[in-house]
Amino acid sequence: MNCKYIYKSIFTLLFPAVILLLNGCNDAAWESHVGNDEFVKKNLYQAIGEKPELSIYYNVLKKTGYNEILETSNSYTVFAPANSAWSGVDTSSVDNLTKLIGMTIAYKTYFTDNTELYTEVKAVNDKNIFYDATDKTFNGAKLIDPDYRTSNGVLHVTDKIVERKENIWSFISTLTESSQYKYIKSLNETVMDEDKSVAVGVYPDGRTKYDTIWKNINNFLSAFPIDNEDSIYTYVMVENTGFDMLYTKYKPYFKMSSDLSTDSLTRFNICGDFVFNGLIDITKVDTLENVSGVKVPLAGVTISRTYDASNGRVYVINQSNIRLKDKIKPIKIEGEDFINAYDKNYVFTRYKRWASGERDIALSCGETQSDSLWRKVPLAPDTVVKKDSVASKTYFINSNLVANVANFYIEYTANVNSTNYDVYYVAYDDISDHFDSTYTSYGVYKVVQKLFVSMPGAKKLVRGTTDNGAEVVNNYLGNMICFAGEGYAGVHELTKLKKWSLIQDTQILDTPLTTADADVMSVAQSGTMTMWLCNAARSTTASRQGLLFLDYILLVPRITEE
Amino acid sequence: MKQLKYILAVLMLTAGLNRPVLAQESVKQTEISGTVYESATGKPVSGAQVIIPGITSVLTNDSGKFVLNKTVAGAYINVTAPGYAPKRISLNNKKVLSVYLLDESFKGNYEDISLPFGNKNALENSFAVSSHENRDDYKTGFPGIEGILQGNVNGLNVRTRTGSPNAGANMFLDGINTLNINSQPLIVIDGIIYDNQLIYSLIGGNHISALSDIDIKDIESVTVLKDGTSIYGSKGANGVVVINTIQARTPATRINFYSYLGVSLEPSNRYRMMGADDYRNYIYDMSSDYGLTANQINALPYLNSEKPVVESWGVSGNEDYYRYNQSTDWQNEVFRSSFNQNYHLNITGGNESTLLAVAVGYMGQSGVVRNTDYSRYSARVNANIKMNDWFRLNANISFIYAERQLAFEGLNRNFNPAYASLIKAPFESPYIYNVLGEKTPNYESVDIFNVSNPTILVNYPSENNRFRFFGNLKGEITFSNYLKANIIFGLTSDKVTKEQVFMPNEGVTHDISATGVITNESQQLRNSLNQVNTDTYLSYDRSFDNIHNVSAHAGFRFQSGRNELDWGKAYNTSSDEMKTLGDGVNALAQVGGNIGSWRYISDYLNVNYSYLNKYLVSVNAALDGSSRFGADAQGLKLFNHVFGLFPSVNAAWLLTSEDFMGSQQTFDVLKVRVGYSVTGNDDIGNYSASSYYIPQSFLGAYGLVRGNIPNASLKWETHKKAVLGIDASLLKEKLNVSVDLYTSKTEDLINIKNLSTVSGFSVALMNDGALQNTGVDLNINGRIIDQNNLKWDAGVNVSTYKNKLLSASTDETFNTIVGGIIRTKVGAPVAQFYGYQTNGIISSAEEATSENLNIKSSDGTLTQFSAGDVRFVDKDENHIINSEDMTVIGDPNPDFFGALTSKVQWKQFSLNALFTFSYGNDIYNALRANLESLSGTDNQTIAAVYRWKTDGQQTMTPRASWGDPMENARFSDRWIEDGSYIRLKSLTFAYDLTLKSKIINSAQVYVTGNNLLTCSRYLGYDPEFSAGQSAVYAGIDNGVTPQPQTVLFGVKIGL
Repeated sequence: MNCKYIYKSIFTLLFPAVILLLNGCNDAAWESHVGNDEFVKKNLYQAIGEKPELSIYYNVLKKTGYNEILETSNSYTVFAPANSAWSGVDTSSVDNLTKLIGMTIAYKTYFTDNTELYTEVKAVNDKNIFYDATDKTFNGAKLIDPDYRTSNGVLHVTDKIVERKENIWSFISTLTESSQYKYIKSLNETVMDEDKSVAVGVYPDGRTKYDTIWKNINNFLSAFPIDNEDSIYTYVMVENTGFDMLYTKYKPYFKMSSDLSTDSLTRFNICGDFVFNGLIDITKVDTLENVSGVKVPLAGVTISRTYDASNGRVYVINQSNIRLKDKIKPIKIEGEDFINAYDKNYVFTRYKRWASGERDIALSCGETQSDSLWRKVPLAPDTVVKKDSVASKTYFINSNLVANVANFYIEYTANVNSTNYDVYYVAYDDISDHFDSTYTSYGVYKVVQKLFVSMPGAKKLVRGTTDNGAEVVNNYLGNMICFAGEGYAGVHELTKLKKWSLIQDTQILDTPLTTADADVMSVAQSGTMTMWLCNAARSTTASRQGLLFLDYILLVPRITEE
Repeated sequence: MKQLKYILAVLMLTAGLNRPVLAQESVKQTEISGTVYESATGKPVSGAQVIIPGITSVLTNDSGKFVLNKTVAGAYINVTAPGYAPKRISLNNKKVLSVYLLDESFKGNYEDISLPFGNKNALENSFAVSSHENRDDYKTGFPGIEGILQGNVNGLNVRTRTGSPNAGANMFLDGINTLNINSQPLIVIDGIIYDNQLIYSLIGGNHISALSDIDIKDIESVTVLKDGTSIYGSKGANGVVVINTIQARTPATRINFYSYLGVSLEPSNRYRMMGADDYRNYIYDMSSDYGLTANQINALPYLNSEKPVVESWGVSGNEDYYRYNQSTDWQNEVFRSSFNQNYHLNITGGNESTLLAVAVGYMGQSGVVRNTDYSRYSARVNANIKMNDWFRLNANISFIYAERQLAFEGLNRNFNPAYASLIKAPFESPYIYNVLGEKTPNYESVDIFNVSNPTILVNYPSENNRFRFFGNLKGEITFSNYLKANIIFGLTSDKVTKEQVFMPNEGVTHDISATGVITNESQQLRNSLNQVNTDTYLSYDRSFDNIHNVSAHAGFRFQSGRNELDWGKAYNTSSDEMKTLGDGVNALAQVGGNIGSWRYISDYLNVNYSYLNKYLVSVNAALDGSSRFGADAQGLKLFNHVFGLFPSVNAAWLLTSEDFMGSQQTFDVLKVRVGYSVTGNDDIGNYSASSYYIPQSFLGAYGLVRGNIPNASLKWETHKKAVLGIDASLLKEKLNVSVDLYTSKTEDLINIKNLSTVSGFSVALMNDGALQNTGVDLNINGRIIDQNNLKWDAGVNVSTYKNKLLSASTDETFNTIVGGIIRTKVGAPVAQFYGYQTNGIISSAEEATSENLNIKSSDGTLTQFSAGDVRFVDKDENHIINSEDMTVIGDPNPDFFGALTSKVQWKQFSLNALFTFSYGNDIYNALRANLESLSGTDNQTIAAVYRWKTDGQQTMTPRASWGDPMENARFSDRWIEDGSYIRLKSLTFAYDLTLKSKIINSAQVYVTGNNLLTCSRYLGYDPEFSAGQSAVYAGIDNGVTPQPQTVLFGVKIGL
């Protein structure tokens, strides 16, 4: 009987217990898994509404429509001014309030333990808010009750309204007498917005008729966007005397085809030389590199005004004597950065540890130097004697790719100033059997290469328009003169190029010039110059027109300065 | 004397002689009287048959009384009456008997159970078995037999694989008996081994098993043999499930028509994923952590909130605004409620010489994932033909054709629609929204985060069509009353006629292959399995004076099988309409496959002897040879081949038949069993013991290379098991208890050894190590209420086991599975989860500094865990969190598991309930580990809403950090969950119609709900799943489809 009692009670107890267990334990499991955090259930706007000390702000948000932003699920940091911060603020004008409120909401969530908060943060009106470490303020506002967590960001209560700042360009626009301002403003122009203008028909003369939409552009502000809030700059204004000094100094190096252009280019360069990345205290630096890499001396300058803008800072100083050496710098053109070539298939970019940029180029071509083959004599290592036998050599990657073209050119361009340049290059023939150490078979090769140039604004170089089909038409020194560099295979050094006279028609190198200007390239007008590096055949043998090597070309301006 | 008689019996058996019956000297004249009562009402039962088998037989009179005049030592009476469960009572010294009969719906201890050599009364059985007779199983609506096994037999841990339609279940008998090879019990249907290896599928995460394709209405009874399986020798280590299909018993024509219609509901227990708003905030902060500035973030098309305005010249604002400002519950796009139907007709009948059972059926089941459907067509003919006096023929022929539409499962972010639906950005839509914000009917393609469109994935389901022919002929030759010969010939032919996967270009992310960018892919597979089984044996069955009962069987079994698998994969067909393999780009095409064949022979002997119907002994032995065994393996060497010998002995003592128990009233039946058996597991690979070559491609040219390092001494795993069992009936048989205590040891474990790269191979197989399982299986069922109109039966199956790796040449082995590390160590339970312990989140910078936990990069630099990172437990206290700090963090083995059943019958109404449960098992939720990694753009669970954001914040979720540099999401106890559950697996409410029609015999209508309630703390879709059959896959949830809740309405009409 005992047994019966036990099993009956087991079953009668078990089944109701089971049914009880079945009720909704999965929801409970999730609840205990994620926890119960009340903060994530409120968005920023709701959170603001619950704080009595933010009642004015709450109403203003509603009035300006910014509450809609705070109810979306992106991620924001709100600098909510406490009610006490509103004393003396005119809350009647919605436009005015909108401008103010735009500053109090920033993109992204920055709790006070986030170091990014203390650089600059971006407000929803695109303005930046800067932290002042001395005052511990954000555009003048101090956090009095920070780090209130919500579902879509963080709420910091502040003692003041975050101050709204103008950007650099807006501030400069108030300095109407400044040469810098005047020049930049003069660049304003209105052009047709080609993306937005829709073609609506055709004029009788065949031109397309547009429903034109106009847009304002400014070339200076496009190049140096100190008028928008995306990047932070420090901009320096020099007073007009300082500006004129630099103008005189710069002008000879920025000659253009007309005086008007020369004037504009010179001014553009001066204005551009005072744009610096980031927020910089110039009182603490002697020289500062601007966005174009020009060193600007700032030691001992007199600062007459400082303004903290929403996208940086503006200084007004008396002058800064930028050195021409720092402004007009040597130009290095890497061999691998060629623009064009007679046939790009024959030009190989080689990966070489020794090369500048770890790359150089080589032209795959046959070479003969029977007329001037050189070898070193073992007994007298430093003497070079002529060898009589005929030998030839080819550099190729694969035997189907051998150029075999006279005046095979490889084209480079460079932006030059109107001044005199010395021309150098590094052309390193590192092919081991071109400088055979056994001295038995071929000896050491002579590496000779030509460089034709055409000046900015002048006609471009042309090849193959004359009878023999390979002549380069040169506008700078004429068809009978070009630059050439001489060196030896196996020697890795900077070679200075000199002017040579050429044999008519074939343009085979004849003799180097001996005139005083034989090693100078005089540039009359600043702008983009074109250079052709050409192979220098010693004969007309079709299959032996010469190989080319180039690590880089270096143009060094001849600057004579105080 | 006893011994002498025993020897005599054995001698006769071996000689196959047929001596005349011994004179029945032992028959005594006596008078035994009694009354037969109906248990429910206490009323006498008239017309009940009371038999002492072979001695005498009477019927009860109107007042239920009977008188027997003869008896014999060790005699028992069988009492049977129509409508009542049979009863068997030992006479002992009793002279006056009261017999209480329960109605036939009660599952008692006196019933016949099916055993390998035919049916036998449960009391005469000396093995640990668990049996089930199919009566009302059709009402459950379970598509396959595994559901039946789950509730009704004990000791078998049946775990449904996934919720995809009819994915079947994995079954593990009495713990974990093997580490690396087949862990599933041997299936024997109508006396023939039924091949139940999973069929290889290209469709990741799916399980296609032949057993699941058998309709439960074709099944008559099921018995799980837990020991004594030595009769199946080297295939018996994981137990044997003996299944008998329907047979006609009488010539009377009976027609049964079954049908149900039902719905599967959308899974209610979903992952709580972030909605569009929370996700947008998460992705904003994640982009910020990635290092984007506010301007860059605001310019991202999915975060740019400028509404587009169409101007004459184009669009101003964000053209993609409407694409990224929707709100989609992606799980809704993938899951749906679906429709199920089933029709089944079976007819039994015949004439005196021929009995036929014919069945045809159709089942249509739809999965909870859209466009995953399962259709099955089945036909069966079972015939029993009496050819003449000495020859009977039994033919069982079945044919099944199954069509499946399947979706990928598991952590396949490109192809698994369910997984893609979880990680997909909720602010997107399956359909393209144009710049005006109008919805178009066109599907979105792969999104900006490189996640496939789940709606497209479910529109391109993969297909698998296959059929299986399974048939056997059995001839029974009767030499005499005692001696028979049986010859069985069985044929299995299983073909995957078509398996096709097509993943289109539009809307589906494809991995980049080594040889090219993949735009779309098409995969096909064919598989065929052909198997011949024969079984020939002599059987001898004789009772000597009711004192000695001997039955013996000796014979041999032969199996020859061949499996061929071919697959092809084609990539980049010219359009998504071109789906065949031939349309792909040649350079990317792949083909593969394998062929395996094997032969197996087993000579076996089975002897059962009982003395006085109370001392029972069974001896089984098999001598097995297989083409798989290595030539140098340890074993018996016969005819230059290696054979394994697998003996077993079982004994039982029926205490209630003892005279001294005659007067006690507590026990109706009390039986004690012991058994010891040696079996084997021959799933060692067809060619592992010999060397073979495989083709290998080198730059498009194929050559042959060595495929393995042969291990000529490779042999079967040896499984030794001892069982002590008690079967008892109490309280006039209303309470039945069965307990099995077992301990088993698997020796010669097949171990997959990782090899050094210099060998040229990654792994080699060898016999190494031993594994132990000990446990208890308990079954209690009883009748709680037994009244005329109201009956309540309830039962409980509980099993528990502990396992331990006893030895192995490698002390610790680690397997990495979907990011989890599984440790197998000597002396510990196999397949424990091994990872980092955590202790919440480091809440402030101050805590981070004072605790000073670091990770060390490969170059030796230390990086400190900061506020918002997970606080990993620094076990060795060296302030560096590395693999030295890993420890056991979970165990997938349950403390106990089983089922509860309840069956209430009131008049014609019945209410059946089946609960299944598992307690104390841990689950590694690999899916959640991905859904809460907080390391990228994938959508996360709502835990991410509660992520750490600021100093001092108390939370359980770490910060969002792009790429997770501190590895907060590493394998740790954050992903280990309690997998305990109790589930209302099935609830049936049925009504038996009383009809006074001459045509319709019976009719039932029923409503069944499956998986209606599941109670669990588990956060995943479903705590019941089984991703793999190997022990190391236990408890790893890699994103399986949840089992649906289904409700169905059905009828059964009997003509």
